[in-house]
Amino acid sequence: MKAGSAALGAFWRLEWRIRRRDTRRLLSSAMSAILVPILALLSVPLVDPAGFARSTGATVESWPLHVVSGYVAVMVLAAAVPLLRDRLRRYQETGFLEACVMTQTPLWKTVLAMPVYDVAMELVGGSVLMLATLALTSGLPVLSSWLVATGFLLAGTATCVLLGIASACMTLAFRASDPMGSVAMGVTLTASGVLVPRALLPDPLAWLGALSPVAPMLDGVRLAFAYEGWNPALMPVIQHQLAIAFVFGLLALATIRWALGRVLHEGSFAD
Amino acid sequence: MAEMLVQMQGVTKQFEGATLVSRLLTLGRDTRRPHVALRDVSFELQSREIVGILGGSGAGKSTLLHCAAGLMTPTQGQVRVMGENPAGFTTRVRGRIGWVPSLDTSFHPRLTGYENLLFFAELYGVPRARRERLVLDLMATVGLSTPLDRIVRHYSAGSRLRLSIARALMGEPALLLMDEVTMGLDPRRRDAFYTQVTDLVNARGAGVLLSTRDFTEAQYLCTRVLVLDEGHVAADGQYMMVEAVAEAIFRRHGAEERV
Repeated sequence: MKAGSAALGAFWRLEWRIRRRDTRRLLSSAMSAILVPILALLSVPLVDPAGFARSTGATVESWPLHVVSGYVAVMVLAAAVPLLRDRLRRYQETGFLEACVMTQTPLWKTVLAMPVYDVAMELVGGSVLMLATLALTSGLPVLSSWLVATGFLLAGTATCVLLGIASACMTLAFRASDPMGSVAMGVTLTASGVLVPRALLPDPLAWLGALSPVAPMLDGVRLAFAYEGWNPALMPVIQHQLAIAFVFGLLALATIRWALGRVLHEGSFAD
Repeated sequence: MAEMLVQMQGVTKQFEGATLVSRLLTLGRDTRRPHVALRDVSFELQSREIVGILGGSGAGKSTLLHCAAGLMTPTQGQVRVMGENPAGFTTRVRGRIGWVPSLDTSFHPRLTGYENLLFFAELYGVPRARRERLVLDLMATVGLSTPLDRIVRHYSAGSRLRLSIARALMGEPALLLMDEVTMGLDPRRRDAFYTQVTDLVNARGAGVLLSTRDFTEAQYLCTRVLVLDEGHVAADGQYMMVEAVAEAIFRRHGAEERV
């Protein structure tokens, strides 16, 4: 029997079975997926798109995409960081995690597999939403734009998952919610360009926002659609994305190694 | 020929208390104090043996089982399970340990028992074509007659224990580790459990290490009993030989401890 390689499929089916049974949760997810973007789009006229265009050099028509891509980034980050952290903590409290570990599936595979369903759903929903927004405002994007934007979306999502793993491992080790994920969410919401463009923020805040795992993803996606595909101006964004992914990759590796040592020392796979 | 399943030599486990960081993160709720859970514990377990770890609360029973399962590393000493370090997460050894925890919440409460077993079968790497058959066979083996569509949070304690044993048998284990699993079971279900464990040992040749506070369980189920007192082995042998020592320890800690 080849164990350990099936964690992704196992957790995918687990989440699917739960959602299929729990129609209330399914309905609530569907309602939020429909209502939140509508509210976000309704807020567009309130936030002075003309001012946004003047100060950032972007067109007024790009403001809805700016808002929707920010919404998608927050949802992806929320699925990858606080949701994973809380789920892992719950599994630790109930002993479910300990039972998973005893199947000889390595801890890192188990933790990596846990958020995949939710993150994938947010990513698919977000992509559809962005396509719809573009279709309504500036027409459907060219294929090359879409490919470049998808590349940034995937890279940004992977970076969010790396941060989520680090945050979840801290939670696992200390048996308490760790502040790392909350700080990341706070920085993302205020300074990474989710709603207010980073160009409009004071320099220290803009620098802080650039450290958010979604900052290069947002820049990349917005520029990909603005330039209609590849443009040399995307090169610094790619470098930013790679640097951020590298940093969060190292952070995740170091945290999972340290947390595993601590959990084995404490025997705290279950509370 | 009997296979050596567990060897512990001079195992000591010391827990540090709450650290400044953990106190800060839990807003002062982490108040753990440093203590020694196991002191220089040595023993061996071979296949076809059912060894009971008898001791009161805080004697170190669960710590010992966690060390044997590779879920905890000892501070000092050596643990070998089938010749390997169980904390190394090597596929070969992990696959041969069946774990039945004391927590009866270790299944996903929103899934049925059948779906939970399918999930764990996948984690064990059971091929898709064999998964459903294996799960149904295991449910039959442990006598789990609960309807397939009943979700786990509606299971009785006895049914959860059977489900837990079915999960532990999934990897065809040579060693079963059970942590006070009969607490809360009525006498009839407890007897059924004893029969089941004995049958498993006879049919599969597995070894069993189980922690208990129940003298009757130690007497009728275990081929050998290890009496733990505040982390050290006070006696090791057949029940008749260790009973007096265990009685004295339980009396010292208060009669209400004895089950």
